[in-house]
Amino acid sequence: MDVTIQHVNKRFGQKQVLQGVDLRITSGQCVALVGPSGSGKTTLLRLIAGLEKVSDGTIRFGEIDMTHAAPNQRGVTMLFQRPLLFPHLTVGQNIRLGMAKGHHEDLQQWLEKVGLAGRADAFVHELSGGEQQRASLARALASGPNFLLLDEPFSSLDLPRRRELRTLIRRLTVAEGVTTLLVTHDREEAMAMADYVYVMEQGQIIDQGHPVKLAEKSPFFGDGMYLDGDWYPLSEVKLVLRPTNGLQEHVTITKELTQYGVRFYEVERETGERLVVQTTETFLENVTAYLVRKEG
Amino acid sequence: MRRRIITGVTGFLILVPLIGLIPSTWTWNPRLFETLATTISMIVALTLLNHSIGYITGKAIAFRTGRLIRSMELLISLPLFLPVLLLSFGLYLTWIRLGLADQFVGVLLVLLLPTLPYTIRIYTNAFQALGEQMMEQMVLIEPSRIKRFVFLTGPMMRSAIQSVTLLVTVIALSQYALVTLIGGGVVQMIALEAFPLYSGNSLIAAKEATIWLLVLPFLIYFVQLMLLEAWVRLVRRLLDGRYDSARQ
Repeated sequence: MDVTIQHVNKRFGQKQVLQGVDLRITSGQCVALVGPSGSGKTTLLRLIAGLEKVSDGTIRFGEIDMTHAAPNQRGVTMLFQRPLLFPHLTVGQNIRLGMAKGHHEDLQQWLEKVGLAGRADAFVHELSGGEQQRASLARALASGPNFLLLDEPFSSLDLPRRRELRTLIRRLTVAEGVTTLLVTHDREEAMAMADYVYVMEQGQIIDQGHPVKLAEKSPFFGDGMYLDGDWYPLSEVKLVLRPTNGLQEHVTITKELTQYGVRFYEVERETGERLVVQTTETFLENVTAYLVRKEG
Repeated sequence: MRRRIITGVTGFLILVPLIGLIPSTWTWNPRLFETLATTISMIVALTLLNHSIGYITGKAIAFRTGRLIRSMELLISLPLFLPVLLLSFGLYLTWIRLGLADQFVGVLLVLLLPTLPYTIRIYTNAFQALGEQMMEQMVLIEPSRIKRFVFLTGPMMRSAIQSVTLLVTVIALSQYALVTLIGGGVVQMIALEAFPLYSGNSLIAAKEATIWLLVLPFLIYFVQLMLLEAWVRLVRRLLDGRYDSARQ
């Protein structure tokens, strides 16, 4: 079921937060909504979930007008920045709470899918932050939603857990056929997860497109994004980078670094400039994104 | 070891003044039973009213903004700044006009004055601690308001519920002047029973009444504790049942 948002405006009193937003999410896709803080991303997400009322415009789920429908009539689940598990219940009970009537999915299967097998009887305080977020994901997906809304669910996690969770979310949503909307201000997250990206600024959609294409042209992704590079074995110490100006450049890998469980490469450009390169696995076919930051 | 000593000494210091309350003989005053029944009924009704009003108002103050909400917050806090007796004098005259003076309901309503501001404050803080996102998550997960309260919000606010009940009980038991003024001696509560007995030198009967003043909050606290524990156990069992029935 596609989600179509047409000419949506949102005002809080005199303040215009969203202005004429048009957006389309194709069924089964993962769409990222990126932009700086205060650009209206989360407000738009909340409008889709039904947690805020639309001032003007329409929100359609398939052919059904959902503009004024109650949140629980929309078949939407949401992952917030915090896991928001219910502390008086066990992990298993939290997940069971999400299971809709007639939804015959097995609890054990869900626990295994999110890597929490054997933790059904654990209480929330007995889990780590990453485990809590995974339990929260299982609860969200066990209800068999049409749409999964992600409101920066990785922001409370460290980098390795962040990467682990986004891979898990993407794998499960593809397997379950759940349409996903991710709100983030992290360009790497958008690159890693999305099939399509919308860029927001000051309450408006200012750019949209395939993540790779967008990364090459959108100022939001900055100058530090290089794409379509090929890694050679470290012994060959060569890396092809394509900076935003479209020119390819050979750089030399001088050092391999591991920081917080994430692998980085120190490279030297032909100009002598040193960069630290971090790879980002994406779910786009044959694409590995290279996020580059200048040393120092 | 050190903790045990501190607990022992503290317990001893609390209990010593109470030793004097133990009467040498028990003379069951039949009026005391009637007073006890009125007191317990009053506390139960007052607690339920406080929970109902405090829950709704506390939630509104915690999550809504606007001038109306801020004005309401200030209005509700007024009894914390003004002497309650001053407000009750005004209410007394109104109650006479409405026929509520010397009535159980009249006393019940006036006892809201010293209790409700604290109740609302406790619920506001509890809702703020839960957070707006947690409330929204509940809305997305459980459509029915009643089920949402029974399965989620209620059990998660156990501490607030406990605090409110205990606070309301202790404040209601201590209100001598308010109950005398509005109840006019017709609505008898334990404090009203005990005070004249002390001043009239009927020490044995006074001690009996005072012991009830001491016992009632503990009794209510433990009964409530058991009920809340049973509530959470039932919720867990029901959730496990939901899962089992879904599998069949």
